Amino acid sequence: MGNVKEILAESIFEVFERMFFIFLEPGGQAPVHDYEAAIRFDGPRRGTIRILFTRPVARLMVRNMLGLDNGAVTEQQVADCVKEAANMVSGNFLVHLDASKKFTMSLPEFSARPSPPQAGPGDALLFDFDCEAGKMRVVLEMQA
Amino acid sequence: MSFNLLIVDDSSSMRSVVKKIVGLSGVAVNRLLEAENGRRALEVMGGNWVDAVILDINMPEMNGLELLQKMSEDALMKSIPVVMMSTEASEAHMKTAFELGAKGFIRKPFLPEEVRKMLHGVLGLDEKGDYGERERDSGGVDF
Repeated sequence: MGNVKEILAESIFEVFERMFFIFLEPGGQAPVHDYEAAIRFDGPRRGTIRILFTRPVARLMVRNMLGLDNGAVTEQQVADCVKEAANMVSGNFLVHLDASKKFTMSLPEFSARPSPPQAGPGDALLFDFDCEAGKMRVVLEMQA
Repeated sequence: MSFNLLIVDDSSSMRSVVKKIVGLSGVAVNRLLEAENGRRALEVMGGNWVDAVILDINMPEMNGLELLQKMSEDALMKSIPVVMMSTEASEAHMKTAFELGAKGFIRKPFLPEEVRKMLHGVLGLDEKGDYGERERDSGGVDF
């Protein structure tokens, strides 16, 4: 999945830089993630993309996207932004993977759950990132 | 001349971003209308004059392509220019959207300049946001 890994990484960077003005760097694993958004895709390849955020990163996304002060950020805005991030990363990844193929995507699902990051199955791709506000993780599980 | 624009996206954050970009685009806006899915957009268009629609695809209840299909079947709505704004930008999705009458396609994640240029194009505005040499669609419905 070498090429897939590069495509996913580029897709993540593009979304976070353009829409959230967040510049990610490869980083270490967070002990706890506070939010998760997951989206399934189907088509020539089938799979799931999950993005896990620490609370400070999720709130920074909202602040940057909507131009808000930290105190003005609501949990509803966090859920909305986190879901939209998963939607854009997934769509961007699939277009870069093969724009000639038609994939369908589910609606993104949000959960707020302070649990340790989950390791996916053996063939899952895991990316841990750092940014100015903290850590996040992206997990791609894809079947052939 | 000012325009009524309808932004259709299930993400309230994305609607806010697009509203902000439209506000800075130089387009004279009379009303910025919003809807969170295609079904709600039909209701809004049923009760308001709309000059152009900015439309997401992946939404609950009625997605963007289903809304385009409904609009293409309606004598009044089919003349409203629609710009798709979606992360689902495969060649197949774009082909379907254009076949159903979409006038433009902006892929998320986008740059504000892409939105501005597309809006100016579908509204027939020049770089300053003035109504240029193009006439409004004379094939529209007279009231």
